[in-house]
Amino acid sequence: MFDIAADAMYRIFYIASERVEVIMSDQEKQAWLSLIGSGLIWVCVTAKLASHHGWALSGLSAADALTAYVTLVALMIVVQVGISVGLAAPRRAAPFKDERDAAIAAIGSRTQGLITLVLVNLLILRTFAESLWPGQANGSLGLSAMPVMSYALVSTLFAAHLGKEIAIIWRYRS
Amino acid sequence: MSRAGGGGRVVNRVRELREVAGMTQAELAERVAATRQTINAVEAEKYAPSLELAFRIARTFRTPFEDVFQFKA
Repeated sequence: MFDIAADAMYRIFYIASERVEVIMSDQEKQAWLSLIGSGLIWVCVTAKLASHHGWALSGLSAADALTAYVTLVALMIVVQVGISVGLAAPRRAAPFKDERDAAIAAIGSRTQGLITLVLVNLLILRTFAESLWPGQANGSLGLSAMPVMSYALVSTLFAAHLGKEIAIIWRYRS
Repeated sequence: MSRAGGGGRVVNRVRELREVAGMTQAELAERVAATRQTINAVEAEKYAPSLELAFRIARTFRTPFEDVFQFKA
């Protein structure tokens, strides 16, 4: 399945220049596949979870949050391992990385850290606001409840991961 | 990643020298231990290589470093 996805990505982003064929590096393919795979996983699990609670997560139970967490982690492991194996399989070796790949990966990691920092601080401020002024904050997320806060933190990790992949793709494309 | 601080930029003759040498990007990439995409980015001056990679490229063409890479203020 991942070979098919990788082949589809190869065809979509194949570029022929005058004298050379410039295709995406394995690292860029990995970033695209990870972005799409991770995004789909988060959207599907969150939609399934929200649909059980009237399209709102404020009443999330601990059991539902734990199930969603375990599902997300398990699916992410499967997707990431699948992508790595799918990309390595054709040449039976791990993708070759050079200094530009390392520099771009470092930019991605910095972006991931920055997004995590910003979102965690926003969650902290939001939690304080909901606790200090209950009923005043518009559209309360119910962050004072442990299951909701847990899912918000997991979603923060996903957002940071997606941000990292977008930053990596952007650097390869620019 | 090709912009240097102070408004200057690194320019190069890698594409010209590679074509004179009759090499493909993939062949040059293999010789200097880089990916073809990186060689393409260097030629397009979208990426300024490290000193190490720049020296490897110049050595591959048997050309003085300053004839391959220059800093334009």
